[in-house]
Amino acid sequence: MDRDKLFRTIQMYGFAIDEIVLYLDTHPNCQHALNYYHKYNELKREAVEEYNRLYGPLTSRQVKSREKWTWTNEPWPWERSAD
Amino acid sequence: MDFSMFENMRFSNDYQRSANNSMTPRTVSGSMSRFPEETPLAMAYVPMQQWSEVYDEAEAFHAGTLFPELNLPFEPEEGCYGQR
Repeated sequence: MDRDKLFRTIQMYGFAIDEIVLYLDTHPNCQHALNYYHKYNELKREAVEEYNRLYGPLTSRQVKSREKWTWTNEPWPWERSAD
Repeated sequence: MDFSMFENMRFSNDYQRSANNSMTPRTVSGSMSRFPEETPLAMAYVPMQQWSEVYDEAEAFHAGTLFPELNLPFEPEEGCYGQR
């Protein structure tokens, strides 16, 4: 999947998890919501793994390399293109 | 925070319930009631959300909520329940 699309997918999974967490806070026994939570947690974990594999660490906590600190491979935020 | 009090809410059931929407319980006087029996008067309540449908993650991201029943965009001309 291309980088932006995968990034957006991770964002969407993250938002869905945020929402279901709020619901579960007040409905702790709801099996529907709990199943949804586990499903999307797993989906997000897989998407992040794929992002790491294809494009490197998404966050500074996802550096896999043991040789080099790869977090700074990417352009700094102020060096990004203007789009 | 213990929410078990909402687990088995009983709604007032009366002879009129079957006459119309069975989901919406009615009081004996026939007026609509969405509150459990013995709900004290003169207090404010927010109905407990029940699990129903959810948007898929793309729709939810766009709508800003996972829950259609909470998708209440404020549209002055149509009032807050206008659905786009």
